[in-house]
This record gives sequence, C-alpha cells and structure tokens, in this order.
Amino acid sequence: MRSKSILVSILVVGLLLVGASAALARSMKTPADTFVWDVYGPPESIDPGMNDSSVGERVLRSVYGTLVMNGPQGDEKLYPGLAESWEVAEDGQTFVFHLRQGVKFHNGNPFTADDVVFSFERAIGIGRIPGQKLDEIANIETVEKVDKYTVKIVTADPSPSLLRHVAGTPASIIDKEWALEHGDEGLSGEPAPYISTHANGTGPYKLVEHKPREFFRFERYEDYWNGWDGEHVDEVRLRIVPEYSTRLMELLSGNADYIDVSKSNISDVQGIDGVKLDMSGLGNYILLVWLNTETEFLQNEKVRQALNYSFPYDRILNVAFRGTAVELDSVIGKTVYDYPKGVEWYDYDMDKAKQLLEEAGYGDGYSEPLTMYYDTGRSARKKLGLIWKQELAKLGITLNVRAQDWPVMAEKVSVGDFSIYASGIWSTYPAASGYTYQFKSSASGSGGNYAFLKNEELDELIDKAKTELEVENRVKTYRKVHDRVKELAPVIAVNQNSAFQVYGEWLKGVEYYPWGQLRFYDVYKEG
Amino acid sequence: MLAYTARRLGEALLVILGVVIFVFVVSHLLPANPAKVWAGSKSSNEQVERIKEEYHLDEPVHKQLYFYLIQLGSGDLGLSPVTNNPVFKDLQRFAPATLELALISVFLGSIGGIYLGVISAVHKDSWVDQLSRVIALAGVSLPLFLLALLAQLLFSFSLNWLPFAGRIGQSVASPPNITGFYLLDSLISGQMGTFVSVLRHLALPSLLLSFSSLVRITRITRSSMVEVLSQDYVLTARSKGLKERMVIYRHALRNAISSSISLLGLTLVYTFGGTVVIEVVFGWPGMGRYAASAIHTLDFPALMGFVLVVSTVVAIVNLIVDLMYGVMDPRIKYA
Repeated sequence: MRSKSILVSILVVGLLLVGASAALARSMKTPADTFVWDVYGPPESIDPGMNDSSVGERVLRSVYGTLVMNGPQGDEKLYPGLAESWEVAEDGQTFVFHLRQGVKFHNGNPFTADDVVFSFERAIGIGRIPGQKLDEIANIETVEKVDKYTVKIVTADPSPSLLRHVAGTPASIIDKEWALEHGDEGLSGEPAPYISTHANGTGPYKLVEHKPREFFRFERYEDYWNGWDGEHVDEVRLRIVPEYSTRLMELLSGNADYIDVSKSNISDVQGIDGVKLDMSGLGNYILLVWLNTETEFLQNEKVRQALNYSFPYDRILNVAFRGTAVELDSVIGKTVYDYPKGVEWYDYDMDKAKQLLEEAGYGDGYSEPLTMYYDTGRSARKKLGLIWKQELAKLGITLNVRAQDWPVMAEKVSVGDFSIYASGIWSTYPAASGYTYQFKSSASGSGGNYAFLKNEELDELIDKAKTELEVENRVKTYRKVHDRVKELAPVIAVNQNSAFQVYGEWLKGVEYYPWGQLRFYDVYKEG
Repeated sequence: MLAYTARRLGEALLVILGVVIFVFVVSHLLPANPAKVWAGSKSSNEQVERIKEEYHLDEPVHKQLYFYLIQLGSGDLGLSPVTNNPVFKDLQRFAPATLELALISVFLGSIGGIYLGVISAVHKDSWVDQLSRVIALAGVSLPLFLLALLAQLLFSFSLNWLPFAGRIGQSVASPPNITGFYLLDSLISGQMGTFVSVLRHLALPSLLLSFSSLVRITRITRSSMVEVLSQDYVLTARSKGLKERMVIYRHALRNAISSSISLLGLTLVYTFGGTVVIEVVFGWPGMGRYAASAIHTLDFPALMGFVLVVSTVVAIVNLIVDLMYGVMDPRIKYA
C-alpha cells in the first residue's frame, strides 16, 4: 500500500515539474495600447493631502498636476507644469507663479488660481505628512491668489528648495469645486473620505475605475495640456498583487508589463530572457544605524566614534546587501542637487576603534549586552547585525540582534527605550535639507531623530544651510553640517539603496524618477 | 424550537460582545504607538501628539473601550484613521469577496468530503480508500501557500487555463453592486460573460481553500460511516433487499452525518484563517487582507470591524448547525 501512495505522490510532483518546465516563451500578452503594472500593495489613500505611500505617489503623479515638474534622475532642471513661468524675489521668500490658461480638470471644470490656493491650504489644514512637507519643511506661510491666473506663495524664511516642494505630489492641484461638492472640509482638517478613493486632476491620465485593494484603471485624458505627441499608451492598469511569486509569474507569462520586486528577490529576475532588470538608478533611501545618545554607554561621543570604526562597511555591503546598495559618504543622500561632494564617512579600522574605547574608559569592553533592533522582515539588516556582532565581540561588546514590528518599534523610538536601531531615512524632495532636518533636536524621538541627539550648534548649522540662497554657499554649509554630524557620530552611515526596475523588454520609454516614480505618460509598447 | 432559537441568539450576542471586548482590550494593551504609525514614519513630534489627542489614545483602555462601545451602540463602526474611509463602507466592499470565497469553499469541501468519506468507507481498504488517505495526508501536511503557488504554476502559468489573480477579468464589466457576491450579481443582472469570468477567477482559490475542510470532513465521515455500516440495522436493511444506494445514503449516512455537520462550524473558522493566505497569493480583494493590513497599521476601528463580522458569521453558522441536528436526527428535541 505504501508503495502505491509513494507512486501517486511522485506522479503529482512530476506533473507539476513538467508543467513548470514547459514555461512559455516570454512575450507580451497584454494589449499593445495598455500598460499593466503589478504593484505590491494598495495605497492607503489617494488623497494628495493624506497619501504617504509610494504606490499612492504613482497614482497621484499621473492623475494630478503640479505647478512645477522635476526631471528624471540626473536631470536637475525644473520644468513648467501647471505654471507656465515663475519669479522668485531676491529675498528668496516670495514666489509668483503664472498659471497655464485653458487647462481643464478631468471632469471639465476649469483650472484657476482658486484651485491652487485651495489645494495648498487644504493639505496644510489636514495636517498629515503631505501638509507637514509644505508647512513645516517648505515653511510656506501664505498662498495667495493675485488674479485668476497668478498665485503668490510667501515662505517664513528664505526657502531655496521651495520649487522642489512645489514639484512634489503633496502639492498636487485638486479641483476645489469638485472637492467641496463631495463634502470636503479639508481646510479645517476634515478631508472627504470620497477623495481617498476617487480622483479628479489635470494629469495625463484620468482614473476611470478603482476597486480598492484590487485595481486602478486609467484612461488617456485627451485634453491633457501637454498634448499627446509621440508614443503613449491609451490605458493603464495598476493591479494590487501582494504576493511576489504571483507578480513574477504574471510578468514571465506576459500578463504584466512591469512588476514590483523587492531587494531580496533581485537575483530571481537576473538573466531571464525577455525580462529587463534596470539597476542604473540610485534610490533616495539611506540606511543608518541609530545610536541612542541618551543611554549610558552610547552617550559617550568617543564610544560612538569607535562603533563607527568597528563597522565593516565593505563586507556588509557585499555580503548582506549583495549589490543592491552603494556606499554612503555622509548622512545626506547622494541624489540631491545640493550634495556636498568630496565628503567622507568613517572607514573600518579596528585599531582606531580600540584606541577610542580605551580613551573613553572602556578598554576592556562593556559588560551590559547591547541590542540592535531592526524592522521585522528586513533580512539584509539582520545579516548586517550578525556581521557587525563579530567585530564588536573583538572589542568586548556583546550585541544582540532582534527583529521588531514597526508599531511596537514606533513606541520604543518615541520614549527612547532602545540603544541601537537600524532604520533608514529618505528625503521626499531632491534637496539635502530633506535628510538633515532629522538630526535636529526638535525631531528627537518620534520626529525621526532616533539618536535623541541634542546639539544647538548643529541645529543652527542645519537651519543656516537650509535657508542659504546661493547653491555654492549652501553646499559649503552642508559640508560643515557633515563634519559636525560625523564628529558627533549619532549614527553609522551604512549605505544608499540602488533603484531597480523590472519589466518586459517590450516596454519602452521607462525613466527613473527618484522623487516620484515611473510616469505612465512616458511609457509605450513595441510589438 | 422557537424559544430555543431565541435563547441561542441571545447567547450568540453575548459571545460576540465578549469577543469584541477581548480583542479590543488585547489590541490596545500592545506596547505600541498607533499615533506614530498613523501619522507616518516621517511625521513630526507635533503631528503625533495631535493625533494622540484626536483619537483619545492617551486615555486608559477602559475609557477607550467605553467610547467605542457607545459608538458601536449607535451603529457606527467608525472611520479608519489610516485610510480615512468609513469602516462600514470598507467592510461592505471587502466582506462579500471573502464570504463568497469562504462559503463556496466550505460548500465544495463538505459536499466533496461527505462523498469521498462515504466512498472510502464503502470501499474500505480498496485503492479508492488509499487514494483518499493520500489526499488527506497531503491536505494536512502541505502548507496552503505552497499548494496555492504550485497550483498557479501548473494551471495559470504552464497550462494557461485559469487566471493568476484578481476577482474578475479586466476586459469584462463589473457586475452591478446588489449583494456584493459577484457570482450572484452577474446572474441576477444576466451578464453571462462576467459570470464566466468570475467563475474562472474563483475556481483555483476556492478549490484550494476547500481542501482543508474536504480533508477533515472526509476523514470524519469515513470513520463514522465505517462504524454505522457494521451495525445490525444496516444488515437488516440489506437483508430486506433494499438497493445498496438506498442503504448507504438513506439509512447509514443519515446516522453517520451528524458528526460531519458538527464539524462544519469549526471548518468555517479554519476557512476564514485560510482566506488570508489565499487572498494574498491570488490578489483577492477581501477582508483577510484588509484585517492583516489593519493589524500592521494598528488600525483599531478596521480591526474591530473585521472581528465583529467574523464572530457574527461564525455565531450564525454554529446556530444553524445546532438547528440542523434536529432536522437530520429526529431523536433530538430542543427544549
């Protein structure tokens, strides 16, 4: 009897293997005028005043419009969007935008200065992440209508990066009349739930169907102000497929054109015929190991510097991250336009580490074990911890490496109940200030300064750099910021992520935008 | 019977209330920081404080529970702080997708399981019995997600017979929203193209999901059938010259089935657990995924809404199962 059941099992497995090996040739099966993108998860909300997810960003980018637009990676120019031109006053605090005339929202309503004022005030009024970017980070004080097609933005301080903020999705322009019709009270902080799942913008594609957590369907908006010269697709489908294997099979069988792949699965898609893996881009995410400066051991500057010297940067990059990240020279991402070129972070040097620990009075190590937390599921960070642990052991320091879910970690970082935490930061706009503000005293704890670093001199430097109008001076000041952060060593600067895109070779026109993802308008298909 | 039903309904309500209170308290006692999670990881300290205040997160748990129960009493499930959608509306959207999948699976699993169980018992130790044993062993030992991926590989990728993911093909029109059950809605509105597409999308996930209930019910039915078939009255029935089919399905099965029925309620609970896996693999826009992301984001109103729906469905099914005993076995009286 047993032999029979074994036979049956072999038969079943064999059948599956035959099925798998009979994989079809990779070819496009989606319609030629439709772009199908399988994404990893649903955006919680597609309201420009609420969105905090990258999937939401992709939707907003193509459905809504902004006054100014960023170029793809490597192109630092700003392009006119819903504003045809703009002027910046000498004080760097007053910005006048001349709006494009004759533009219509997808529902036919005309676009005017009222919509711009409403959109900015609404995002700020709601007070979530998008509002914070415009209010606390861009320092917008007032947004005023000058006439029907002119808008004036005044900032509290000189704001050289304002135009970069105005190019971001938090500054998406929504139709005031449409929003009010659907019961929006965004100005007083109560956004209409309707706007979380519906959209009405001026972008190249209009949202025609949205089944939450299932798919989005967009159609080309014929009256798009930039016109339809060149090659574009007529329809875009964004499908939410949470399981990576399913997404991969969809791409391999030609039922999807572009899929989301996480860092740990990159090796699966390398070298497959018909599948393009583009790793030329650099992401905006930098990974740091935060050292809580309010704990007994780590409050000592020399100890923190020693830990930085004990960190085997290259080995961790090659073994734990396997080519999915690049070396980091500072706590500022390399992709910003005011990056202080030529700066350097610590090198791996155990002798220096030992010497510094001795100077700090810990020549024999530290008796209490330290714990490094990382977010559950981040396997590369776990490896990072395990590799570093060996180095620390040589210094007489015990490191435990422990995974923790974000909701629980969120509480730990708000009260400082941890000593070491591996967690990244990213800027949502291409300026250095998007990274440095997380090192200010006011951001201690929940605000993103997980080292609880409080240093007035650094605060002043960060503020000064942010408001410096001349790029040259700004870069100089950021160099000083870098030097000071390096000396204080509240973090270990681990690496910056590479960006990768995975799609069928039949898909053309794919460009990488580190500040707002792939744009539907760019892509078209061959064959 | 009526008095019994009323009493059981009252008990079911108490159970639901108990489950709601239990999950509320446990989820709120986590050493976590929901305000920070809702505000987003890049939020500032001021934003986190504001959200804490807005949602009474600083109040003690019993006070928060009091606020929630008052709100629930007025029929309001609340607004999700993460998506800004009313939870009731979300559940209205996602619950039918899961219920459609789960109910069809339990239906397939019970019918198939009872049939297989009977066949195995009748042909005890024959190859049919052995095959069903192999299937049962596979069913309990293979993890559902692995089975699901293998099935996708075979039926969707290699053979290209069935779609990979989703609830409906994208080239067909969605059915009107009448019950939320796509199969039913497309039938009611007479959209045959949509009906076929929905059926094709349901095939793999519902079959896979039915597997665990099929296995359980097969084994239980088989063992009680084997026992019943050896009893004297079956021998009597046979010696009276009744047709074998009559003996098996009218006389024996009726006595053997009560144990399978009592398993039904439990099966539904397991099936709900399985939907989370199936929904992820098949991109099914259901309640399981909704609840899973609610747990990750500590979206309490959404999580409580999910708990309420599931506990209600399970309570109702258990009630129906209890009432069915009487229908199947006339010796049982309700007092």
